Amino acid sequence: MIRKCQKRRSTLSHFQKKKKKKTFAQNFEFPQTMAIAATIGRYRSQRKEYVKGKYFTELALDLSKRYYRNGDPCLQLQLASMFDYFPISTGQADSAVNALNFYAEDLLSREWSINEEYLSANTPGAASDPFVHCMLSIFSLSFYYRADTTATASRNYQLASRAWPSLANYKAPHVTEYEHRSIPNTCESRKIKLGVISGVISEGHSVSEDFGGVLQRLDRNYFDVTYIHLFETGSPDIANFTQRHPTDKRLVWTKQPTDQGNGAWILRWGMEVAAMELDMILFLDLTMSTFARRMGMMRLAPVQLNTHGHPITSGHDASVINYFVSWAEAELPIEQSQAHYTEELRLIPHGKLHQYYEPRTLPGDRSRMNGQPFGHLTRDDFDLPADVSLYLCMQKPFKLHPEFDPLVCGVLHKDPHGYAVLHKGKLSVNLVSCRINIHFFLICV
Amino acid sequence: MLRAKAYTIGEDSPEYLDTWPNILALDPTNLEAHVMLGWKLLTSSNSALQEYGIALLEDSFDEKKVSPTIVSCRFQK
Repeated sequence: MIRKCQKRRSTLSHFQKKKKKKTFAQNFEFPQTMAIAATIGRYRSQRKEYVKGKYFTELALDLSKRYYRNGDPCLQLQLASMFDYFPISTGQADSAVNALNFYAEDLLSREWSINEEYLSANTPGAASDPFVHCMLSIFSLSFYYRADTTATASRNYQLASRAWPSLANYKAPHVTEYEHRSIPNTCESRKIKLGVISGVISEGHSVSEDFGGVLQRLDRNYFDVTYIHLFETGSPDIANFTQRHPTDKRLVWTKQPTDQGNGAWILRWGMEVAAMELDMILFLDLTMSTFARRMGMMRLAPVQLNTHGHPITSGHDASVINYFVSWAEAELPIEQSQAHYTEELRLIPHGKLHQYYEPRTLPGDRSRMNGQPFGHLTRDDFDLPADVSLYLCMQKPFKLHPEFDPLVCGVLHKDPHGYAVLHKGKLSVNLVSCRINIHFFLICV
Repeated sequence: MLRAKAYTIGEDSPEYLDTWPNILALDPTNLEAHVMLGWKLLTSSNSALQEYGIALLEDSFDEKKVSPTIVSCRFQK
């Protein structure tokens, strides 16, 4: 049956070649039914419609069991990385994580592999990037406050390693050499070659804003810095702060139109980084960009660090991403906070800021980001009353999970005339408002 | 007639996108029209049409919308 399935492309054109006497229903084959269900599932997941996405992906997985003994592994990877992006309650959030972990544990308990060439040739939408097609983003995990983040992220990494062993097994030659040194000590004879790799180190991005001040101030007598912007989405322009030191190297890499059918370009980039023989790589955001996430699966420098550009563990094995650099003021005591990371946690000490803060406003009440004046704006411009307290939460609404509701509700309960002002979003803001209203009526009133 | 025409003109013809909706208008429960039109619209650069294509494909699994459904028809075989 598998051979029969492999021969067919995921097109419906073969219907036209069937004998005319058969009805459409009789002509329909399981591979196409599976492909349609899988396509709907992936489309809905992409649009963050969890219920439909999960329903159709599970349906496709069930249908795929006719051809794969345990079902199509790519579909299972999707289910093992599918978060409910807008859970209506903590119970719903817990269910989503439980479902995801069920599929992850099931996959990790047996043998399987991903054939990128076959997947690209037979699965609609997979050819552009099979990794992205099968592994959904782990970004949302950071909002699941009740989940076992470390275990969930670790399983996600283990699945990716199993599916893409060429990345997980890659080790730069100089890393092997470094590991075999009896006394590794590079600092005495030369500068530390530091690579800073990010998927979002573009001008104005919050990650650039957060780290730009510190990175500019690293002592160039000790550090030889190379910035690598892996442009996947957003802006291709690397942030201006990277230009401050003429000796710093600045690279922008992106997927080329010819990079189709497999993720070979990631390995190609990895080899380019390996050729730089960096001593240390600082990944600013391993759980945001899929390019960065994949780069972080390889051992490209003797010391590799993750940090709080997206403040959540990578889930990568500590032998690959060795350290997570966080800020003591934002963490529980080390013996507790370490449990939230697969990496070894290193903290910027208490009492020290984690960044060099640069105001985002300019003299004359103008925005540093776009130069727009704002000093003339009043509450009237936002239809807000003048004589009430305003409680602003300018996080994007999709980041406001159900745990947020009783918090804002509690504030408004203590200040009945107060206003909670939230960031406007496309879809999720309605859900957040709805949830808060429900809380308000159930608890506050 | 319309069905035969749809298969004759080929997927790349603009007429293809006119014919299947006509079939669907005559019989809103027609599974074949749901699948053929839905699949074709998936490749549309117009996001609204793409969404409509997905909705048609979703309906092909829903026994309240089509009869037989894309899954049940196979099990009946």
